Amino acid sequence: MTSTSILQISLVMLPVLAMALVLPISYAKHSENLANRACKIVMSGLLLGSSCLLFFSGTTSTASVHMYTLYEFQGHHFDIILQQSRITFLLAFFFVVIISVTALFSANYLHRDDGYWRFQAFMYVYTTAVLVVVYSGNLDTLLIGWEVVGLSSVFLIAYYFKRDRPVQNAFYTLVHYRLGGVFLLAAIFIEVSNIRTDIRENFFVLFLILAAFVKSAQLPFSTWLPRAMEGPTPSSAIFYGGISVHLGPILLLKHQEAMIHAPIAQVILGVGGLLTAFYAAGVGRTKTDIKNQLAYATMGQLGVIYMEIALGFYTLSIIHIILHCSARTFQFLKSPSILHDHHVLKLERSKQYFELLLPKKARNVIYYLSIHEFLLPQVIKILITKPFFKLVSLASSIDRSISKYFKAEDCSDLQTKIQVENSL
Amino acid sequence: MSKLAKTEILSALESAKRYLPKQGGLVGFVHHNTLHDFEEMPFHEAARHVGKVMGSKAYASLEFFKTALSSGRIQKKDMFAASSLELNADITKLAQTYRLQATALLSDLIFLEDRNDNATSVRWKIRNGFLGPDSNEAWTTAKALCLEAKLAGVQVERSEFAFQLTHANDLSYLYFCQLFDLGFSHWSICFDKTILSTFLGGIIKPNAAIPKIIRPMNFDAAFMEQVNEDTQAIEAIMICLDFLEISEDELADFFLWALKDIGGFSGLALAHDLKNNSGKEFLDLVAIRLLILIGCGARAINLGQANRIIDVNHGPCLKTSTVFQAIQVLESSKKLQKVDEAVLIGALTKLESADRFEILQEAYEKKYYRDVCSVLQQKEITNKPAKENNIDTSFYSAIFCIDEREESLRRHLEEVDSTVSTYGYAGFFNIDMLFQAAGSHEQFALCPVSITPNKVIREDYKNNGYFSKTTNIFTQSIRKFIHQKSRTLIFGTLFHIWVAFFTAFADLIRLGSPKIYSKVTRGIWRLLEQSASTGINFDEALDSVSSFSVEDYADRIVTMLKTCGLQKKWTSLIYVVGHGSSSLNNPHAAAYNCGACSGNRGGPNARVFALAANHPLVREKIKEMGVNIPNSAHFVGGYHDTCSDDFIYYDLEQLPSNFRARHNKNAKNIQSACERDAQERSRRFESIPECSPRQAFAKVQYRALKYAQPRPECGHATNALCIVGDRAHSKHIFLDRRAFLCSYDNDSDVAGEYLAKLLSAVLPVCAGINLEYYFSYVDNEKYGSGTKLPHNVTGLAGVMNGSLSDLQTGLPWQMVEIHEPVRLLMMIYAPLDKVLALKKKIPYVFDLIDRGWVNAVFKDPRGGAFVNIKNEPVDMNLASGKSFASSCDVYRGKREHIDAVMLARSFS
Repeated sequence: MTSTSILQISLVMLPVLAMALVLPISYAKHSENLANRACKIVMSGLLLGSSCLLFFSGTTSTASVHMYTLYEFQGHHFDIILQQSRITFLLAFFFVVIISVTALFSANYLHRDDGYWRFQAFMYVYTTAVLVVVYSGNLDTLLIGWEVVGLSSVFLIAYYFKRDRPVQNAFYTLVHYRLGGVFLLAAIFIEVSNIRTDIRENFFVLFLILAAFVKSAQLPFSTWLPRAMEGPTPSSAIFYGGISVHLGPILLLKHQEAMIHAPIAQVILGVGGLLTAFYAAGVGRTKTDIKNQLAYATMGQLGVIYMEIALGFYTLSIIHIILHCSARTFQFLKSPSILHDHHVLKLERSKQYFELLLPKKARNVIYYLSIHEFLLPQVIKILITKPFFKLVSLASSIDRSISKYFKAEDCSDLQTKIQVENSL
Repeated sequence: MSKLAKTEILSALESAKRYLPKQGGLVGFVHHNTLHDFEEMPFHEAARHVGKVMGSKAYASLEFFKTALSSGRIQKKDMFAASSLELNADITKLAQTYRLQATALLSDLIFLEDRNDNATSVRWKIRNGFLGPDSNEAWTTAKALCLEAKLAGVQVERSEFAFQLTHANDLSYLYFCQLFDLGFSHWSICFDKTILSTFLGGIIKPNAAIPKIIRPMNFDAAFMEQVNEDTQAIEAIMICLDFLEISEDELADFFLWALKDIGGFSGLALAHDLKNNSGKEFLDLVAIRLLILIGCGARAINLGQANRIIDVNHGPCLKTSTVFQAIQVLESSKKLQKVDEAVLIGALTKLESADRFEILQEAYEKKYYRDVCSVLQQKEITNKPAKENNIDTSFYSAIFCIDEREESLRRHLEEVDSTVSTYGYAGFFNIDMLFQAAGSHEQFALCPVSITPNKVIREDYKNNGYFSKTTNIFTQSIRKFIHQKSRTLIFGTLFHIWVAFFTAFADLIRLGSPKIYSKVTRGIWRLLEQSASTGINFDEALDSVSSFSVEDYADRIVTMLKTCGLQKKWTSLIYVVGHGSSSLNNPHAAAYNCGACSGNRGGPNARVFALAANHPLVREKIKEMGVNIPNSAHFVGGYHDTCSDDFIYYDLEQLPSNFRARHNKNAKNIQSACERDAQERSRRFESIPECSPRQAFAKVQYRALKYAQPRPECGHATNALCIVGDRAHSKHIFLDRRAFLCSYDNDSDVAGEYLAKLLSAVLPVCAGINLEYYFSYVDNEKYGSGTKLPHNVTGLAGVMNGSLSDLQTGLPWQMVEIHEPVRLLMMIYAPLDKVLALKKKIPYVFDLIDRGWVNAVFKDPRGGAFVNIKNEPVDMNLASGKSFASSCDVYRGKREHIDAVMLARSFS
């Protein structure tokens, strides 16, 4: 094992270790100071380590380092593989910078809040997960980080679990993330299968694109992103303005070679990005609150980034990712200042907007559609949610009739529960 | 079914309206009593009534009072004094029988745990004769149980209904965000007509064109025929009510139910109506809300009605568990005689109907009031009134806002420098103006909300040069461009590929280390300062028709001088100090600013006041009015930032050269007072360790620049007191930043004319601040706006929780966290009969006092003791004679509330 790999591994492990060792003690003592100090140390460690990797590793070409085999079955391996390349180290460095700014910000911002330690814990888990995704050299490794990022983000959406809406929206997001996980698994299955055709290649990339689209809230999976703005401001910043949504493009950039052999998937990628960019621009322009505006702006920029990837501008897309990610995170962190900014800058609504080019009737229709997110939530409800719950209640009624047949106990309780869920 | 009359609907709306918060936009946030519309009821009654109807709390929790009891903040004897005579008789009787202390017994009974009864215990009560089967309580409980059973039976329908309601609420929030947007979205619904017709044309009409299955709202075709784009609000409401089959006697309750979930938006509409003096927006809002409810499937609101009955209709009822616990307290349930039983039940019923919280609240306040009155009284006994000093030319005066945050600065200044005399006057200094800042086209009011200003004062860049204007316009437009365009698609893309590097880098430094950022930007500003400094062209303003005339100024200045008693004691330099607060990432910033300036920074008022008072023409006029300002007196305007403790002076170049040296000396003392003030404030911030004044000053400066700081300062938190009288009475008393201090000169105001003006302006404002803090503290979720961490600014008007919710009104938890829920105590240093003579002139003020929204004590400044409004002497505790050498000694090492104490420093 080279020193580079050791450093990489220790960077990944550092936040989780801090969480496991320091946070319980700090929580038991109810001392925020201890947690703050630990946060500072961990973040400086990460900064130092990732900048060392970036500047002194001396890697020029992409290398994959096999670390460990989790299990082996009939010639199939589940390996932990690290990727070592300039781009990887660069991305990791910038992500660490953004995370550390947000972490220090939240240490102040959440001062005296009930969920202070909860937030810190998820922050560390998230940091590790992001580094796993960025450093991963194969899909198996990436999947671990990918899912943990999703989970920690869901838990932070439901940060105010005593109110209904955050929990509902966290659940909504969780369902989407699970769907993304399924797409990624499908991609892994195709990867390990032995068929080698163009169609396989296309399907493989298509599933990767779908997984990435879920993570980056591209059409048709875009409805979860604005609903995820329920946690404290720093969590919204780092997940939905910042790094989490940018992991989608990074997933695709890690599979550049495969993408070249999948022209159909590439077209889908470009069209998806284009549609999302216009969709997000339309909806975002009508939003009256800062967090939703930022969410849609992020979504739109991600659409542009996907178009860049589809057209093959990989370097440009990396620059775009880094700059957009950092600028947007900071905009989120500053978002409660918007009243102050408007006052200081004496802003007024600009009277010239593109929509004026449209005839009035079309303008009204587009406006109506925009404020209703182009009726996407309703369509999803009709096409997916309702049939799914119908299926569930059908299954349960079949189950009930079978159990009646065997004269087992009545399951009417279950029936009521399902009906209640149906209505949610 | 007969149609409802228009007047009935309007009056029902009127009565429902009272329960809704009336908060306008956050930009001009003004503190007001949360229950302003219930001020014709006594405080306790109003708080409990609204609590019951809206499901909010009227008092702090039992747990809170329990802690207060154990820490000695509540005393048992006060509880005994606060409860009614009949109750006390019962308690004393019981206490005698069981050889207990009456006060202790009362407190034990009050702190019995509040457990809910179930059906079994109700039955037990009836069987054991604690309650007759026909008693009111048994009936209500049984009714509630029946209803519960009924609701449980229709569980599924109920959840369906709840689902529809959630959907209706979501759509309401979404639409109201659009309709009430003050200009934040890039693309807004086109407004050529009223809100309602915009809604009908822009949302209802396209809605009908959508395929039915994915339509957000579904209306009956027959219903829709009655409504078109030109329907008036009141007609639309009538149509909806007909459709929902609401009968006349249900109207008020129905409206309340329908508007309860959109309280924040209705408050905004009501505030707009109040400003425009019409009732249009609110009616439109109601009509839209009803349309949305119907569109989301509301047919008949019977289930909602059932909810309401359970919520509202349970009166005071004695709980079985309470009786059990009470018997345990007496420790002899077996020996309980029939007579005692009746007495116990009687006592408990009385306790329940009087609401034990009322007793606790009164006792809680009483301790504080007593301590404060005692200290102020004691000061008069121990410190003989200082003999009048000969006014030296080195003496100076400073007039501050009455704000309780200036109390500490004034105290420290007096400690640092014995040559200063300080005064308190409402922070707009009688200059009720519309102010237009340099480089802006916008005019904003710098006066209390009760006054509508019509005089305009313009500020401009000083050396009207080309350079300053162009640089300013250039930087402004770049910032504007970045601010607005970074969220759009095309410019946003270009921005994020090229420019974002620079802004992200600047933001990185700004967020990561505000200290470095501020040093760099301050350096740049210092270079530009010469060109960017602003001034007010006073002579030009005097000539202008739209501005104040010489007479206007003279009138306003004389009123202020006479009220404060400043004309009795002229000094060479007189500082007039406005205040404001700078903070970042704080949507509620206006709530930290000067309340007398409509939530703006009060610097310009002080500046204009000083300019006017120095002006020869104005002085001449003042002289004609009988006040002679000596030529050796010079006014200097100043501004105190209550968050960063910065202190700046205006127009120093106009200061005559012979005043320069003196001013520099004073400025030094003021600076060191500011540093001490910073130290005193820092004790309240857990994140600042104990440190020297200078270090504390550096820390609070840094705090104001920090984006990551949800508590830039504590605002008005802990306010509890308002002293109207000469500063001599309260000088060198540590009041812990809890007292509004108004200067009032009893001698020069024989007729009480100035007192009436003062009280009618000051009392409602201070009471408004105090009561807003009170209610936001006792129920932060309902009356306040919860924690500010997930707040999301919408439409430039308010904050939502997370991605979509009702507008959150009231104060966030971070602002009220350290508040003590105590009603304001007015201490008026004037003879009681003189004050009472004003009753006809300012009835509103006396109503507030009589109904308990504000407590008041009076004292003749020439001697005597504190009396309340009924001329009864106030309870005092003169035994403790503790005093400290300086303020620092009092608060050193303490982070909690500190009682008022005397400072030994007295110079005479």
